[in-house]
Amino acid sequence: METLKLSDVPENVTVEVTGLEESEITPRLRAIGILPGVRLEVLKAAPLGDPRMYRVFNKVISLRNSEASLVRVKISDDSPLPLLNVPPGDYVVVRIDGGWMLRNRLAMVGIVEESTITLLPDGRVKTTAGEFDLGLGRMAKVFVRKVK
Amino acid sequence: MTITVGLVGNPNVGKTSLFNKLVGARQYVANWPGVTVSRTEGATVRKGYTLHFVDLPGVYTLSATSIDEKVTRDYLFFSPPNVVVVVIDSMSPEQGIYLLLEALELNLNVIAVFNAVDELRKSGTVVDRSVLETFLGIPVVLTSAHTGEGIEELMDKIIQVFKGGDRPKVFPYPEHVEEELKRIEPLVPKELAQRFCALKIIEGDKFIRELVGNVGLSFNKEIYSALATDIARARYNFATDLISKAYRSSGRLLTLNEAMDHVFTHKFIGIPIFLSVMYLAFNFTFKASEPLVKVIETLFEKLSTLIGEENIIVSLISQGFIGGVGSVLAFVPSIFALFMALGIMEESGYLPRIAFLVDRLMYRLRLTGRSFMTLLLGFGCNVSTVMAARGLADERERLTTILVSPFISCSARLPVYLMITAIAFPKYRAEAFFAIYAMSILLTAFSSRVVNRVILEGQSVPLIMEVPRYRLPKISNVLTYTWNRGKHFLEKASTIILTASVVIWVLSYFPGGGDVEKSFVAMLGRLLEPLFKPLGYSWQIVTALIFGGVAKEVVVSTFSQLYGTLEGIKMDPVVGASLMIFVLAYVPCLATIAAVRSETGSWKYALFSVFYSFALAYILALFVRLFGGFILSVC
Ligand SMILES: Nc1nc2c(ncn2[C@@H]2O[C@H](COP(=O)(O)OP(=O)(O)O)[C@@H](O)[C@H]2O)c(=O)[nH]1
Ligand SMILES: [Mg+2]
Repeated sequence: METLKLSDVPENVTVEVTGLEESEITPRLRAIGILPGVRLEVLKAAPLGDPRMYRVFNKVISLRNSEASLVRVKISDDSPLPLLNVPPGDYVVVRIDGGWMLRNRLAMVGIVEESTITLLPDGRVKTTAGEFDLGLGRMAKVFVRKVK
Repeated sequence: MTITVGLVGNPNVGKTSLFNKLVGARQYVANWPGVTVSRTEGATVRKGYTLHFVDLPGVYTLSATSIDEKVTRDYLFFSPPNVVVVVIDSMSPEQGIYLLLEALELNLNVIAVFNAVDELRKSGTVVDRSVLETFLGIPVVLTSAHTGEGIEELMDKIIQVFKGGDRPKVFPYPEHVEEELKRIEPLVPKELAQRFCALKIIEGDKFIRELVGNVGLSFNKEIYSALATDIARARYNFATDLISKAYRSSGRLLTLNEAMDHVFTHKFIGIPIFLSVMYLAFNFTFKASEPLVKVIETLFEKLSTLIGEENIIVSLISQGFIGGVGSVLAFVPSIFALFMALGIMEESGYLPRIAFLVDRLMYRLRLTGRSFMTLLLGFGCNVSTVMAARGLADERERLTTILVSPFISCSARLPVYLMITAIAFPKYRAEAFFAIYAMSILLTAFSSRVVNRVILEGQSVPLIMEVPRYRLPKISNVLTYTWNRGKHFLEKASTIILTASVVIWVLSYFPGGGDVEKSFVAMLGRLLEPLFKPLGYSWQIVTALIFGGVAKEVVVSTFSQLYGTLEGIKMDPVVGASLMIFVLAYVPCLATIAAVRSETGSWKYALFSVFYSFALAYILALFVRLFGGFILSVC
């Protein structure tokens, strides 16, 4: 499984730490619970994308991307992913990360939480209401999990 | 018999709240990480023992890199208390248990406190204390600093542990770690906590490595990095295992209100919301305090006219004491109201989120969200920022924070703004306040850039900050907060401001025998008036500004003494605006200058602060005067 930097993981994704680059602040990161084998949840970013909040055990910690980039992680198998970042296939919508406007828009094309959708190879989405081109921005906000 | 007790724990777990409950001290409590910079002490008597508590800065580990981590480590290591109380947040206990396991290695008497059990119960979770005690091998107390639950029991346990003196059992690490420990431990001097030191040496703690000296470490650093990871993992495995045994919950532990965070830390509307909140806070400040301010003002005026000014003694009392101090005291309700608003923001957990929102901006200024919070203290008093800057790990950041702190508009400047806005633009007071506070933040930011360009070079330090859960502010805590910040102001009124008022009275009474126009201050004011001619300030304003250098409130008392009353003064709105900016920026007050001098250890920085701010104030005030005048003439 490929590893990536914690700072590159999109919001709302759950990851597992695989390694830490040694630095001045490594002892504190370890003490906070950021160490190999631990699951982290990327919560949300501040304006301009930096810093971001992470859930580590039951605490919420704010880290700058410069520090988060010292942490190597892999995406957890059961983590929801943005529709934008998954290969074509069948998915269940687990979360829509936005306000009621976005939810309404998506509901009109048959995308609500718990609904099953298919991502087609051409990037369009097939739902019970038909086939649609969502646009990259919206696809980043729809979190899905693979149908078993 | 005295028992010393150290309170240790992660930031924001309720150490200070517990401390207050234990010793009944009205010590300031904050809902943002790292507010306890130096250690705070207090004592209480229980069953014939004096329990002497020390409230230590919050830490995650005893491997120290920042100053506040060092304070905690050094206290435990070099002057060990009789009993160590490790405070753990029962809602997020993992990190607390990690720290507890580190503290156990020090070979001291340890008690584990699981705090905030009131919140835990509300979330539908129960914790089995006997399970915790069995696996930790030390006494455990469940407490709530809000309801007072478990406080008495904690005191009894402290005495019991002190008398019993059973040392905690040894926490076992994986075999290959133990092997290395066994090799290093005998090389550590006997008078030090051997196992603790051996662990810290493996974990790469520079200080302990230097302290102990050569123990024949391998040159291959990777080995120790891997061992350190294994040590940390063993502690966390133990913690999660323990929690799964002792906790029974109906869902996720964390009750961070995500819906609230969706709005308050929103990418686009988060900062506008913050600005609106501040605006509302200022509005609240006036609306809530206005009636009271009116009452106090009238009271002092009546008193002053009642006494009259027939002779020198009567004049001293009515003009010097009552007029001078009274004019400042009239603003006390507004100041308390503002602190109340700030206190609510802090207690609710909103402030750390602001630090989160603005961190990126602070980064541009080579600062962090953490120095942002230190700077926020300056809205109370700049001296507190200068002192609290000790908590910043990075020396460059600390110096920058100290040097820019005078531009944070402290509460002493409030009465001056209140006075100017009342005289110059009574209709737009809240707007003027918003503008001056925005200006204050801009100047602070700008100066940070200047300081980093001109005197210090460097990069921003890492920010690792805990974002606490939202809490309903507890009224008693907000009141404590308000009182602790506000009382400083009352103390000043009875000391510095009283003294200054008397001095000003003397200088304005003589040699003219009561005729201000012929007095010393008038001479002084007129002497310097040409310097301020471009700004359009009268000699009274100039005099007030000179005395305001002692403490900014004195500007108000000088005004009232020179003009007799604040009622009839007329001021051009442009002069008013320029004066407000001037008062915001010109020279830090004496107390701040002294604090800058002592915290930086050099006059160089203190003098820089004085000259830089004066120059900046003058240029800005001039700009406002010219530009404002131009706009008004066009309209
Ligand atoms: N509900 C609840 N809140 C608490 C408790 N103890 C502390 N708090 C709150 O937690 C916040 C941080 O407390 P503080 O004593 O400053 O933590 P410290 O950083 O460890 O000193 C404050 O808002 C307190 O009101 C508790 O037992 N129950
Ligand atoms: Mg504290």
